[in-house]
Amino acid sequence: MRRGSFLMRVARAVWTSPTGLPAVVALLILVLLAVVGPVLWSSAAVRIDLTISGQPPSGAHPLGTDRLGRDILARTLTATRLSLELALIAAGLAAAIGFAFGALLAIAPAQLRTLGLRVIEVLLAFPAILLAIFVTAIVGRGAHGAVTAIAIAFAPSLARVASNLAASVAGEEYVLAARVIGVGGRRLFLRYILPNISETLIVTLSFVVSSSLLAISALGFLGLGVQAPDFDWGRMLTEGVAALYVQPSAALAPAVAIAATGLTMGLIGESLARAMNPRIWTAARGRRRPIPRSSPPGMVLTPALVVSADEEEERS
Amino acid sequence: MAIWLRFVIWRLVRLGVVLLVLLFATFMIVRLVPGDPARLAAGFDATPQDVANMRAEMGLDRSLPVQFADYAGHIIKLDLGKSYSSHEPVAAIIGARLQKTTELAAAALALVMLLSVPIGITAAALTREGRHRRGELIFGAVTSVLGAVPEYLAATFLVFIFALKLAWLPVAGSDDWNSIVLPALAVAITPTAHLSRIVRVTTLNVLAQDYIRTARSKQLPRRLLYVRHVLPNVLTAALTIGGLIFASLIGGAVIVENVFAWPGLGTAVVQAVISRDFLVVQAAVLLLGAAVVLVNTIVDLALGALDPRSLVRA
Repeated sequence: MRRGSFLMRVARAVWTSPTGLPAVVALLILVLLAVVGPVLWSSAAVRIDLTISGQPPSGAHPLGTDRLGRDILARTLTATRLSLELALIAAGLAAAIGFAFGALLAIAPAQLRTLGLRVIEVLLAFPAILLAIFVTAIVGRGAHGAVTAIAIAFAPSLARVASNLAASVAGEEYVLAARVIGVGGRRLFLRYILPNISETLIVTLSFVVSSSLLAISALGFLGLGVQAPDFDWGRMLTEGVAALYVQPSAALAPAVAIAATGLTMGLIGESLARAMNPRIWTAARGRRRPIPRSSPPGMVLTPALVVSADEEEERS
Repeated sequence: MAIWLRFVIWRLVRLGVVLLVLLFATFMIVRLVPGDPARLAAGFDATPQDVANMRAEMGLDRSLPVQFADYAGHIIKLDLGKSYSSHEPVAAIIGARLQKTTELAAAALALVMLLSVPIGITAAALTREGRHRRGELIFGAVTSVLGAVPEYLAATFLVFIFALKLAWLPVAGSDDWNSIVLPALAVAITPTAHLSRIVRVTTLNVLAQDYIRTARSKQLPRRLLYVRHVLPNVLTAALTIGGLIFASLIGGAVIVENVFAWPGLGTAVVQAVISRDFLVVQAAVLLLGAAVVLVNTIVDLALGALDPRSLVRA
């Protein structure tokens, strides 16, 4: 089933699915906004003018103004950079911690591995957001605290994916063959195992970016994330919800931004997953045969499970 | 019987270990926080003597194992200490809040079950054997979008539509009987989307079985077909992810409470984190964590009783 390089397959997967192209376009727009947003609109976003506070949408202010007379559209666009930045950092940190632990577990002796997986299982039983709140209680609120909390909350599931993948590849014949000719520890991992699980890890990571954007906005919304005068979408949502009666667009604009961005990232992740395993798509379009799928794609907390399950299916 | 007994004992042992770990983790919150817990508890205007007294009172001058044993002993007696900020017993604060969160979670769970089972079965009945391809696509798209929208956004949109535009339901608080509708709906949307997909696939699998063909051929009324054959399988499937649903309900409730100013554990824990009231955080995390672990164990045991195959897998 595998033809061409990973990038080629990604391009094909994007092109052949109805959601792929819009998702890529949306992603490009988001990246563009993140780059130019603060440059173009940051002055309008923070300009306080009480004479125009809480105005309804108008020509000068397409989404109206908030309680302090700041332009809501400008604020939403400006916040793109910080929101994406925090999500990416949190996801990267989660991956660094999770994958490192996963790799350690994969090469650990069997008993230690079982113990580690049991601990992860227990951690995964908790809602990630609760784990994150727990961590912010310790590290303190603010952008640093929220990013750390999200990274720690997501790391266990990534560790499990990485270690399960590595363990499944470690049972393959070519790895046994390499062992027989005397390839050892680190080299075995770096040259034989890692290249074969890296694509799946990338796909997993793309889902984590989406989840961590939603989670970090949630922490921001609860008042545990970014603190004033900085603002991301979560922070804007808190202020907006507090004034929902007066100015609904102050809450709706960041809410729509978070939802749209989360969806975009999720769809990108699905395109990547499809590129890795074309059967997800061809079977879904398939002939009168329900796809045996135990959990839906994009399940926010355990997106990776879908991918790994389908991977195994492909192999068999 | 021996397998069943071993399974139950093994599950209970695991439950005990996990609860112990949870106890230790919550014990460590107060010790890991930067700064001196005794100073925090004594308040801003405390003299060094007050702080020293508080340290002795909290037992912070003793060794960690002794402190932990002490902590566990207090928890068993439901003595959770006193809040740093209001100086009321934490158990009293948490107790009143727990009831509100339980109400919300129970209402949401009822909604999830009442919505997802009929929706999933109907979707399966309409799209079985490749009928209504377009309907299948729409069902998949709608459920995956709704499943990906986090609870706090759903809550915001719901408030905007039903409380603000239509003015059918109250915006916040928990004073009226109908104020629980929007919070419960906001918590229920994501699990409902996930569960109705699972119900649909389970139903399709059942409908493809030979015994269904037999039942159809002997003219079993269609209603009985679904009630006798489909429903039991669907409920087992729902129970299988019951733990996941419960965790998602708890996590959702914690956040959604803050949108609606619902006076439950979620608003309490967030306020406590903000005001650095660590004993309240500790108690809330302990309680919510224990609830999740307990429900998971019960789900496992129930599955073991209903579906003996899961005994072997465990």
